[in-house]
Amino acid sequence: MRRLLRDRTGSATILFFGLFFALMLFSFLVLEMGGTMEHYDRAQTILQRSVNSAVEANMDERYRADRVLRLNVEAAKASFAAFAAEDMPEGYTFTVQSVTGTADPPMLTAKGTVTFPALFSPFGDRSITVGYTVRAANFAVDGR
Amino acid sequence: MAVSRKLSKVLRDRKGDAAIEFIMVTAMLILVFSVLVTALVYVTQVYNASYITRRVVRQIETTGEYNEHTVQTLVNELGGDALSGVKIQVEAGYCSGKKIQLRDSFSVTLTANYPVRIVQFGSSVISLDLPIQIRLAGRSEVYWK
Repeated sequence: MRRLLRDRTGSATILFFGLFFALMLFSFLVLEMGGTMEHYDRAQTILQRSVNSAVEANMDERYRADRVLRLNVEAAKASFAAFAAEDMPEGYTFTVQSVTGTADPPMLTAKGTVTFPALFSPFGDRSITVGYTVRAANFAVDGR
Repeated sequence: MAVSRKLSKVLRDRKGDAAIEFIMVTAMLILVFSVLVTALVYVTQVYNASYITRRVVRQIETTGEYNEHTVQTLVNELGGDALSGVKIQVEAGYCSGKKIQLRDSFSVTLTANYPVRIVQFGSSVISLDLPIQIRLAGRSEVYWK
């Protein structure tokens, strides 16, 4: 056994395969991380757009001329879920853990998770889930 | 007859074949390296164009209107002027002027060229224009009365 362990024949081959495996693993991790950031950025943009649009769509116009801004919070909550569901690309799923808002000042905050396929998912049914928090406020009194 | 014999002798002479082989292999390596560098720069330019398009889409989404001057300024700020023949085309259903109503969709298409210099004779350059086209969609976030 000791003789076998001291035998250095073929050490270069083992070293080559070790380094090759390490390099492959590193490349895999870099690609996967890049893909995850790309997916997350895409989902985050859609969720932010949804919360912005939900606030914008549910502002109470009756008092805006008097420079009073009020948000219909319940309608904004429903709009957020509807807009996000409509815009989310195929393969992406999201959950809403909480949506909180205030009528005055008009603000809406949504928290939850978004799930998207991993870059190497064809080699195994894997997906990545990350949390999100998106917030929108409306201070526009220019009557637009 | 004597000429052909001399030529045959020269062709069969193996002196200096290593030098010729070295030159040919080096030339091939330089060619492969140049192609790889050009491809890498092209991919970088496509990635840059994609980023510029995403920023333009986001700007139109948040402002709710397409202002050609503002968009062109943003493109130049982001290094779009480094691309050759950059054109931004926005397709949208406008509600008034260049304003896009809340939740209405629009698309932004960026087209540009990446000129690859193949050979240069003095001031005349033979180049190949590789096209770049990025198309992204967005939705307005602004409610217009």
